[in-house]
Amino acid sequence: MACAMKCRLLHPTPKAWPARGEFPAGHIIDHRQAPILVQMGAAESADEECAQAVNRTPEQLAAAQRAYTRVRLGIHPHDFEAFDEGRMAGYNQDGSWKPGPNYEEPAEDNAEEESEEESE
Amino acid sequence: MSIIKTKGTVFSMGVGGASAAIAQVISLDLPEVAVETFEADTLDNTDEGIPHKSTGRVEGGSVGGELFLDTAIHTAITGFLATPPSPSDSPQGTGSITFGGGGSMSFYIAGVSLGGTVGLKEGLKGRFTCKLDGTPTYA
Repeated sequence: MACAMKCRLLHPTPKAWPARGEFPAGHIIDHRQAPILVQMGAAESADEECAQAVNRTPEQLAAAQRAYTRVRLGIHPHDFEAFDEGRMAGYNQDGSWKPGPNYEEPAEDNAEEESEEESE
Repeated sequence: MSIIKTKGTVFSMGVGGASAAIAQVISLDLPEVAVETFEADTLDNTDEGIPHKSTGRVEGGSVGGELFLDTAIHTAITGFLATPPSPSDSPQGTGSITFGGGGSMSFYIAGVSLGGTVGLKEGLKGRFTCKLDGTPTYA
C-alpha cells in the first residue's frame, strides 16, 4: 500500500464532492496522491517524501504554479496577459471581466477614439 | 431563463480529497444521462405505437473532453490510470464541472481513459473519458 505524503495547498481549494466547502490556502493534504497536486501546480511539497515523488525541476514547478492560478479560475488564453497584468481577476456570469487590482475603465479608450474622430 | 456562457468553465478531478482543476481543456462532452427502458409490447396490443417502460435504473454515462496534452501536468488523469482505485474504494474517484456562466455538476468517476492525436499542423491533443459511477448531481 502506498504511503501518505504531505503537500500544502497554494490556493483555497474545493473539497472533492460530496464534501462541501473548501480547504483554505495553506491546508496540508496528507495523502498518497499529494505529489499529483504538486505536479499540477495546486500545491507545494510539505515533506521530503512528497518532494522526492514529485520528480520535477524547480522551473517546471514554478511554471505549473503560475499556470494553475489561471486554470483554477477558468481564464481563457485570450485573457492570460490581462490576468497576469492584474487587469482582470476572472469572469462574471455574463462573461465580462471581474476587475483586477490594475483594472482600467475602458472609457479612456473611447475618449481617445472620439478625439481621433474629431481631429479627422 | 438564460443562455449560460461557457467561458470560464472549469473541469476538476478529485485528488487527495481536494478538487483540482485540469489545465488546457479545449472542450467538454457532458454525460448523456439516460433512464434505462425496455420494450413492453405484447401480442394483444392493438395500438400502433410500441410501448416502452422504465426499469427504474439510470445510466450516468461518461464525461469526455479534449485538451492540449502535457503529461507533466495532467497527472490527475495519468495518475488515475497508473493507480486505479480498487473496487472497494468509496468513492472511487470524483469530478466536477463548474460552468463559467453559473451552475455546476458533480459526479463520481469509476474509470478513466486517455488517448490522443499527434498532427503535423496542430499541437499535441489528448482525448479523455471519465466513466461515471452512478448519476451526476446538478447544482
